[in-house]
Amino acid sequence: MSLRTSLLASVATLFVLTGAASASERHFTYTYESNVLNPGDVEIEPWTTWRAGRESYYSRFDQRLEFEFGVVPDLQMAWYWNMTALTADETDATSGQTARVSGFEFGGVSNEWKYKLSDSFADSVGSALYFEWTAAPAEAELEGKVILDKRMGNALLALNLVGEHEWEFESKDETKREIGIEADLAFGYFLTPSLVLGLEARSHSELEDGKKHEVTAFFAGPSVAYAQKAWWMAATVQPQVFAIKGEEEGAEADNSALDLEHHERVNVRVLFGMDL
Amino acid sequence: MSQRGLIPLLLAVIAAGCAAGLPAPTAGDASRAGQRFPGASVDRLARGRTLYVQTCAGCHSLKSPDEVPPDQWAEEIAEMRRDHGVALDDDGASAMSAYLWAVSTRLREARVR
Repeated sequence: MSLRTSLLASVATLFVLTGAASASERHFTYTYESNVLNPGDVEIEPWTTWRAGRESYYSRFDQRLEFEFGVVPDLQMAWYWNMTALTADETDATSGQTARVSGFEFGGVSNEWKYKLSDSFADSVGSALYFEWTAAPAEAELEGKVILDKRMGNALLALNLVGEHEWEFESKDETKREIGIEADLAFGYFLTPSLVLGLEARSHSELEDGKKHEVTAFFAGPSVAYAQKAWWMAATVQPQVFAIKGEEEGAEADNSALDLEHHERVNVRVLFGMDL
Repeated sequence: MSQRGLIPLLLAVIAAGCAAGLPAPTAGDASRAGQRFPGASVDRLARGRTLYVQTCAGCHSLKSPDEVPPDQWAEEIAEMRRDHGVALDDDGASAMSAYLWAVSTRLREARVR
């Protein structure tokens, strides 16, 4: 059974097993909102992100299985199990021959904490603070977010400012350090209380060794979310719109093309959430 | 419209958009609710509002009180407790019902005017 088939089977099983209780819905996939689970509530969220199209053939599925817990009022935590399946063309450095290779990798575990400061509907602006750490066999990552959102009638607006610090342990003596800065902006409209159509935009910048700006890629695309009392789903298709590349020595900055070295032509993310 | 006129207009639109969507209870709400919910006071309605946000926003988008007819709120809350296991005691459910009933009535009356 392939990875995709087994994940689809898992999701189908979870739909059958879940009871008729409420779930904490999300309306966007890259952009977080300020809401948190109630104390004692538990939710499972399978994530699938498809990232496709680089300089040569590239198709990558990032799978995350999230277990989310309401800890005390306004505070939730979550554990993630991360996996990656990648098929890409690789060129052998000595022979120059290109071959298509596939691989599956365990991406470690992540732990998230999210604290809600104010509500998007009841207060002037909804807000929350978010912190996540990841530990994998060959890398570690810390991530922080400031989450702002506002519900105005049937309209919903959300903004996230994200900072991430990644360490890649390439060999015993060599560690590569990278800093990422991301901004996510989303707008959604409730067509019905259950159905939200929207737009999500995202910029992602990478700083090599935490200092030198390598690239900023901009993505934007439509999103859809549907919720029932026991479950919800959200999906976004985000093509890369343009990129701003850092200046390389002896070369002018190139802002005319997409960045296909660090980012993909298109990202698609689908989330499901089910109450346990 | 000149740029000078546009800036205050934009600020007004932003301020209106950032207003709290869930009104705070007033003395008028407490007086109106008192006829139906004995012991209703501004403090008790404020407790109902806090419980509504804390209990319901964790699972789904909050409804504006006037999205539901005033007399239907008590049944909505009872259904969430009965069918969806919402943890809320009888006193909390009564305070929440009183708040939502009072504000739904007020907003719906304002809409008619």
